[in-house]
Amino acid sequence: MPTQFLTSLTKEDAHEDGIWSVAWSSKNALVTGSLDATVKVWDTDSGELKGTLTGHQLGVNSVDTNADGTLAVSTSLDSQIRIWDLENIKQHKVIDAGAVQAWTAKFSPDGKHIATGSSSGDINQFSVESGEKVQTFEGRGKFSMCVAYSPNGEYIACGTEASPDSATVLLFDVATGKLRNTFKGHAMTVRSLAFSSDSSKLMTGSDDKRIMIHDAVHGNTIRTLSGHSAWVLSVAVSSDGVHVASGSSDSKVKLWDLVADQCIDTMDGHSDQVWGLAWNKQGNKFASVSDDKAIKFYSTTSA
Amino acid sequence: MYHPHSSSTLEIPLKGSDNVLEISRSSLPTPAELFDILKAEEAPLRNYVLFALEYARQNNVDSAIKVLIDGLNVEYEPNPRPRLPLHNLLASLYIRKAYQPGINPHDRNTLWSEATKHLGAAEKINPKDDTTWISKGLLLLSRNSLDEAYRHFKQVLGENSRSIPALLGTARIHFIRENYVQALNCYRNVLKLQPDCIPNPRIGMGLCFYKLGMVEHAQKAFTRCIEMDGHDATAHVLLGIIEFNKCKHPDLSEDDMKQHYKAGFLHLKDAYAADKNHPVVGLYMSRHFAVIKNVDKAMAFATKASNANGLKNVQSEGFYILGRIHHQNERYLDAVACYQKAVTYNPDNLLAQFGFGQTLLFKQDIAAAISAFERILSKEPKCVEAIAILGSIYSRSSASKGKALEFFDRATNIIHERNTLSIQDPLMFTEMAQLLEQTDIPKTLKAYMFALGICGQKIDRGEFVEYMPELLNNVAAINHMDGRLDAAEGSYNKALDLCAAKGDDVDMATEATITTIRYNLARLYEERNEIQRAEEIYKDIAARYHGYADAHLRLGVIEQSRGNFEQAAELYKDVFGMIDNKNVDAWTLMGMLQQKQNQIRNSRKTLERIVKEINRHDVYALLALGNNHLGIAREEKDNMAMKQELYKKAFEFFDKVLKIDAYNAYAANGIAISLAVHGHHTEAREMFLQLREAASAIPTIWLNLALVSADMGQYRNAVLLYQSVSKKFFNNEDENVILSMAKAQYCLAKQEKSPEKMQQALAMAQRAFRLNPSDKTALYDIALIQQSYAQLVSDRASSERTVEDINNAMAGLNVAKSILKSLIAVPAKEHVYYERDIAAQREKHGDSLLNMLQRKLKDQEEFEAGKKKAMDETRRKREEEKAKKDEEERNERERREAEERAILERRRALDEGAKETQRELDEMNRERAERKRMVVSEDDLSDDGLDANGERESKKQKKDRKPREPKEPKEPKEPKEARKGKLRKKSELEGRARSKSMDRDDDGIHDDPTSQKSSSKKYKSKETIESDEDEMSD
Repeated sequence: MPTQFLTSLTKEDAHEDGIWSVAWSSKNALVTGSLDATVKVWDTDSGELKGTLTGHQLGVNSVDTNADGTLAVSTSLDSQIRIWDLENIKQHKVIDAGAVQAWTAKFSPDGKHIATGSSSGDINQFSVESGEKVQTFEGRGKFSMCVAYSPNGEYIACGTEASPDSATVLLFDVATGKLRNTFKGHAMTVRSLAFSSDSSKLMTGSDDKRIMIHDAVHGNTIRTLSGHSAWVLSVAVSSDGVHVASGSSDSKVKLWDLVADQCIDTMDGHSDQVWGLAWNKQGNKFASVSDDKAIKFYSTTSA
Repeated sequence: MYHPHSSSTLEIPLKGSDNVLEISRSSLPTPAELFDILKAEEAPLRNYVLFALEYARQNNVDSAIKVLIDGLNVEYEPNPRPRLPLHNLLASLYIRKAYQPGINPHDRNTLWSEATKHLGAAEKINPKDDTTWISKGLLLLSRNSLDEAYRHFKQVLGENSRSIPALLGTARIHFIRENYVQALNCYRNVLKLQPDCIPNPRIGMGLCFYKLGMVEHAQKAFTRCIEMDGHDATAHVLLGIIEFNKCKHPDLSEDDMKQHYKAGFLHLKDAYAADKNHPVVGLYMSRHFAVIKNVDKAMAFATKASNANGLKNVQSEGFYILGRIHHQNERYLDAVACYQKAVTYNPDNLLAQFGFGQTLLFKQDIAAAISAFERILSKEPKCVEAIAILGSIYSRSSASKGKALEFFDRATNIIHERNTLSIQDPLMFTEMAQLLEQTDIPKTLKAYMFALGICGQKIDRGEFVEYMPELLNNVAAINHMDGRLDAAEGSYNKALDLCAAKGDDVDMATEATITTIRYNLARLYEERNEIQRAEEIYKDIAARYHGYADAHLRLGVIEQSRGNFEQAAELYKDVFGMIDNKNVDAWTLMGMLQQKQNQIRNSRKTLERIVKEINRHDVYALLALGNNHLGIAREEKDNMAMKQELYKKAFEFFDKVLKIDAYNAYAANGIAISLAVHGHHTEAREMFLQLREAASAIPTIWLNLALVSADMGQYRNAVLLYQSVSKKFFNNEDENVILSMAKAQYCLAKQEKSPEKMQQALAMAQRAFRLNPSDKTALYDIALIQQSYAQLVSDRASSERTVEDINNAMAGLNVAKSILKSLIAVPAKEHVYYERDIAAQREKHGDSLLNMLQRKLKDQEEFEAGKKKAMDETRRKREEEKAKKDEEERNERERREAEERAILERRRALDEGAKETQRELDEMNRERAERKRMVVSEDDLSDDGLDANGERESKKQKKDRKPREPKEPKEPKEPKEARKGKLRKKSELEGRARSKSMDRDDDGIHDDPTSQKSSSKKYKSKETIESDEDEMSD
């Protein structure tokens, strides 16, 4: 019997406009970024708003938190990378990356770096401390839509816009800075990717409506999950590696059980594109955010 | 009647002596030798008769005739009288010969005229001779002149009521006339008069019993015949037939049926042993071998039966069996020929008539087939099978669909009337359903369910229903079409299970069925987004049956949807390159794919190929070509003559489509675009509105409606239309639709001079940008909107904006500047939809806007400070006034209270002395209390009145103040070029949106050949695919 997840809390109108990104910190703060140009911090238990962070001029299309849950990073269409102090709910640092040079950002597992994808397809690594660009991973010229560090810190993966040769997922070796693997499963834009907690698998979601699970080390595709009727905008893996949640522009959230090898649930509580998903550290709760301005929290029946 | 067995020899009296010459019956001389002896001895003519009879008894009819003719010719007997028996015997021998199987009609006529001749001669000798009359009766009988024959027999019986031949002849006539009781009486008379008569009257009796439904009596009669003569083939075969007929009883169990068949066959075997040449025996032997699939033997017997000249029914039946065997072995031409002979020999052989009709259908001789089935109906008006087939024939032509439905209805009514399952034909309901498919889906489903029900009952009875899977498939397809996917999946799987139950070595037809069902199932998976499952099935089908074009095409469509354009193209090419060069679907998909890849010229060539080489009425290709030209026309910016020419061509294509299909929404959409292009916005909008009503599922129409609304300046409307179409059709995924929405919102904001609405335009542009961040157009639009927002804020009166608004606008200008800078810096080799120098001008314009806003920020801050001061002043004044008023009120209230107290005191003083006036006093008090309440409420009222006045006054003030404000010039420092650039940008936005909406045109159509066109195919069982496809391409 697969684990069941139920909607435990819904925050309607959590932002003034569509919500585009979400992260769940290890200290159980939910960070959301919105088209209304704000970043908001929420208590994941009560759903209470802990603070609103302003500064971005345009929509906030990615947020992430560092491993110890003290900092958040956000990127916006205004090309600013902003680092926020989650303890005092205030701005910590601004990095100006230049127009469309920082599309989405992720903290490295050790929290020292931030990786961002750029319009040139390169992945830039910034130092959190200095705010300087410290390393560039050379892509293949296709706009880099999303990035992810493997939890062991060895790899950076990025998903790109559509490419005729289907090479839309790239995997770099952090130590050498070299391109290590190219995954050719999706010919259409890859908007989201996530590593399993043991760093062995890479999940990718694409406009081709599919989710693919790749062997990160060997580069082969393990499985393809289809079921969404529109673009897959977000994927997230639970810490135990059993569950993958996916959000789509078909307004649905799907939950896949990788052990049972099937879609175990489809949540249709959102009324617009589901742009972001985030799991808690234990892997028994997750949250989804959507263009319908709502945040939804889900938890296992046992949680 | 003569009795040939009285002795073993025949005698010839020797001339002039009492001695006789004895000739053994078993070793008769030839007629010539015999004649020599008879002539030499001048034997009496009576002896000729005796020898003729003996020859005849030994089945040597020709010798008998020879002897008799010789006898008639002898000259030693001058009297005519002794010649009479010779004439009679000759006549009956000729009749007998004419009756023999295998004789041809000409010979038979010759024989009949010979008989007639001799009977004439006999009649001349003695007009009242019984034997002559009987022979005449028999001759008339064999010539089917029943009334005449009956008259003759009657005549004989009038003279001699015990005349056996006359009785037998009469019985025969009664039997033919179906007066079985009378016939039975005649046979009974014969039996009484001569129990051992040959032919055995019990045969006739048995037949009468059988016809009267007394089967056991019949069997007894025939059995008695066999007891009397074990070699009575007729009795044996009749017993066999009775058993065989028992097998046809519908309520019989399988075991019983086998039992009867076996008994019947044993009789048949005995009959065959008794007489190998018995025509009816041969016929039944043939039937038997046909049943046990011994085709050669069946053919041999049937051929023999078919040659049984003179026995039309036997011949007809023989040909029928031959026809059936050919029919079953799919030798339709041979079958037609046999059936035709069968119905020629016996037009009432309805089974042959039926087979004839069926095989004529195979020969495509529809008219003849129809008349064959109509002939059946003229005999059997309630023959459901014939009615159903006629319905089926008529259903094949669209002109006679009404007629077809009439026949189906007729058949259905009969079936309901009879209310028995055994005659219900599931195939008929299937065909009926197929006929109804185009017009009446609920009725179709009903018909299918009916058919399924019948099949279900058949299966319950242990019968095998071969086409059950097809039926389930069709039912599933209807559910599939109506979106009941779970029900459809269930039925598809059930159908597949049934096919699987047939075992491993399935025939071709079953294989084809399995493939069709699996294909449909894959389509269903596709609809459920279980693309992988679908893909696996398509791949398997394509691998097994390379020629199954649709599987390749679906795989192509799937690849295309994943953006794997090259693989998709390969798959389409496989179909028209290797499988079918005239596959319109493949060419259409290819053309659409090329369009999607922006290979406009190639796309046009591909589509033109369809129209030129395959089907010049192909609506899809014509529409796509129209859209293709429309797209090029829109892109054409320089050569206006060319642009007009392209538009003209495009509308010619749409016009063609409308001529083929007057209700084609896509084509009408094209025509409406034509109206819009030529500036007839109102008419175009009207047309789009109507179209949207009629075809709300076509996004293009919505998009065009939005576009025309925007062109007409109805921006609010346009935005709403874009919003709904973006969500409804594109999951908000289409960047260009959202950009068009942003543009309409931008225009709305400018029209209404509303910075708030401009902010909404900014949000829309951001959404578009986020969907496709590598498209710099959206980025440019964001910068443009930011500047326009700043402009609007700048234009606003200080009283209607805030410092925060200005700060916001300035921050936005900074973002815009950084965007524009990056856009200017885009390398020249990269194609962009904006002009770099205009972007540069924009950047400068932003700077001047920024400067202006900086100044205005100061003014605004002062204004707001002043306003705050004024407001504080007002508040203070109001507070003072209020305090003053409160004071006055308090004073007034105190004054009144003092008055009241004084009155009360005076009253109380009065009361002291007069207790009886207490009641009066109470009243007064109440009155006073009421008055007090009145005073209080009057106060409230006056308060309200004051407030209202105050507000009115402040409004008036505002109004007065406005003209006094210094009026800001609109966009004062915007350079001329920048303004031009802005306009260009607008048209750019428009152009892109249009061209994208064109793409959507094509997407709409592009979907059609794959989903609608082949989907209509998928809902057919295999048999009807071709015909339906023809209809599709019509």
